[in-house]
Amino acid sequence: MSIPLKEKLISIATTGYYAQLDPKQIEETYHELKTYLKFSTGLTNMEYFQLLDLLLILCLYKGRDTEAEFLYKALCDKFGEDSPFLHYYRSLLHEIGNINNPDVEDTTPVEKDIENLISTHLEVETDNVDYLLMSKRYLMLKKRGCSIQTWLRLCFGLLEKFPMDAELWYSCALEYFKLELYDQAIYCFEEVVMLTPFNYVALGSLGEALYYKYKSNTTTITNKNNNNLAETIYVLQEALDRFLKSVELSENYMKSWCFIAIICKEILDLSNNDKKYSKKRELLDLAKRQLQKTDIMNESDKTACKLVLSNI
Amino acid sequence: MVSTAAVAIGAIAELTLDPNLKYNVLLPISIVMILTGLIRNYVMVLIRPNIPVMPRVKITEQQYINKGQILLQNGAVLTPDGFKMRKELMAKLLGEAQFVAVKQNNNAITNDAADQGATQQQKPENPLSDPNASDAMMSMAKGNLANYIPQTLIMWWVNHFFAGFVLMKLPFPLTVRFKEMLQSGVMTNDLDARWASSISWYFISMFGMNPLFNLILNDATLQSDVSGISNDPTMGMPGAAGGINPEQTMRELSNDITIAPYENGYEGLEEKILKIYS
Repeated sequence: MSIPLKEKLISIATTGYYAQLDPKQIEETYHELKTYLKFSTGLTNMEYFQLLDLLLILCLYKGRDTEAEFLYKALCDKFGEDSPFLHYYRSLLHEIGNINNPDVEDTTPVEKDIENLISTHLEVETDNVDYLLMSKRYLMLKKRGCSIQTWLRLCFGLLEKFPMDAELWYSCALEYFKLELYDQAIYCFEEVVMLTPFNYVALGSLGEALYYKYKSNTTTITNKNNNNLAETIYVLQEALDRFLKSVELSENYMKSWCFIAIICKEILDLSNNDKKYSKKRELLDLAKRQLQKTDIMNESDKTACKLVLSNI
Repeated sequence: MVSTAAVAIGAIAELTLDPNLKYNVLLPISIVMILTGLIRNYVMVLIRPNIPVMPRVKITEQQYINKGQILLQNGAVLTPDGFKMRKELMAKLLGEAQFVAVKQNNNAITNDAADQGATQQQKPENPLSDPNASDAMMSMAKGNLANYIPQTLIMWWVNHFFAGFVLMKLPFPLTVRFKEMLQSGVMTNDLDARWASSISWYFISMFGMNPLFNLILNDATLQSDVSGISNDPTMGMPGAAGGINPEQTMRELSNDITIAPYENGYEGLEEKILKIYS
């Protein structure tokens, strides 16, 4: 019982999954963590401080500011104030202080504080974590108050300094995808895939962007002469390859199986079931079989798979 | 203390050891070795160097070099157009050494035009005056001292109190070549190589304790300190004398990228998937 709980809490802390938890799960995780920290033995220093970080974040989510501040001070005593994560927590507490203060409702002082920290200190003396962490925090604050174009410009400014940050590339890709700028989204997703080639979620997203690029390009669909057909199928094949790679890495990634079924069906329809594309028929059958494995799916996957199966 | 049970011409000498040797010599040496290892481990934690800090431009420089290498390694996951586009871009950026932190010719930290706060004039770093480099050297010296001082003291202790003791017989046969290693301090020519002396037991313990520490210390960072892996003096010292010249590395990488062909990493994937899941 103890080992899975420890692993669960540490994986929530290290992957940042706490940002995805709903209020009930936050409450449960908070209590589990508090109890675990009270009675646990055999935690390494690294694990202990990871869990303490998680507790601080959960305290902030729950609005337990005093407890969060107490934890922040405890961490400061251990690591000193000039530490990457403590810079981050200080800015979180600063923001909360501003929210609680009815006179100051905006986050401008926090942004200015971070700007100041970056330009006067981190630009000259930083490590692999600190500059990027604080810059991302700055971008997150900015996102609330500026246009998406300005925000993307700021992101690319940071990406020019840190071109290896897959997380930032992924954020930009998602924004472009929302704006239906598929070429830009594809470029950004490709960066993520290049930096993390085993990231099946990014491969799936790249395939999705390629597929919607094809969908948005109506001329290739309407003019069905031989050249255009080959071109159209080439674009669909590019998307299909990404989804195939994605399911090669993770069999249970249902989104990719859905798109494999849809794309294979589309290629077969476009080519009028040409024998040249017989492999697509086999892939379509395989994808259908995978979509029927409801025992390994969560509820949203089940609904999506049912919908896809009923439409192909 | 050691008596000869049977010595015959042509026969192997068989010794009967005083059982007290186990309790008075073998066990104390082993315990002292374990305790010293543990104490040394925690001392190493205390004197561990701080996380190396550097100007942001140096991290950017390193990231562009790494990205060039990643393009060569993982270019197969891109589309042909995507690869071509990135190949041209990276070859240009690296060829012009646009993101080199310290240019060799003009002695200036370079930045992109949009970068506001970081542009500043700087002379090439003297590795001896670089605080990161001197920190690394100091921590290396401290680490070495933390290793050598206890080793010297224990060696003196074993040599002084237990010199010439034959402690145990190893449970596996060994060739004569091992005699020198296992029987140092014992002046016999015809003793079987399986017999180990006290000083040899000290050396065996010293070099063979790592698996035991891996078991006792459930912390990867501590273990690496015990085995002395983290004592690499060149770590965290970019630009140190004799180190890699980033400008040259970028230009070489740019050449490699320019001639790199595209390889499609998705070839035969349909057959592969059908084979795996059918």
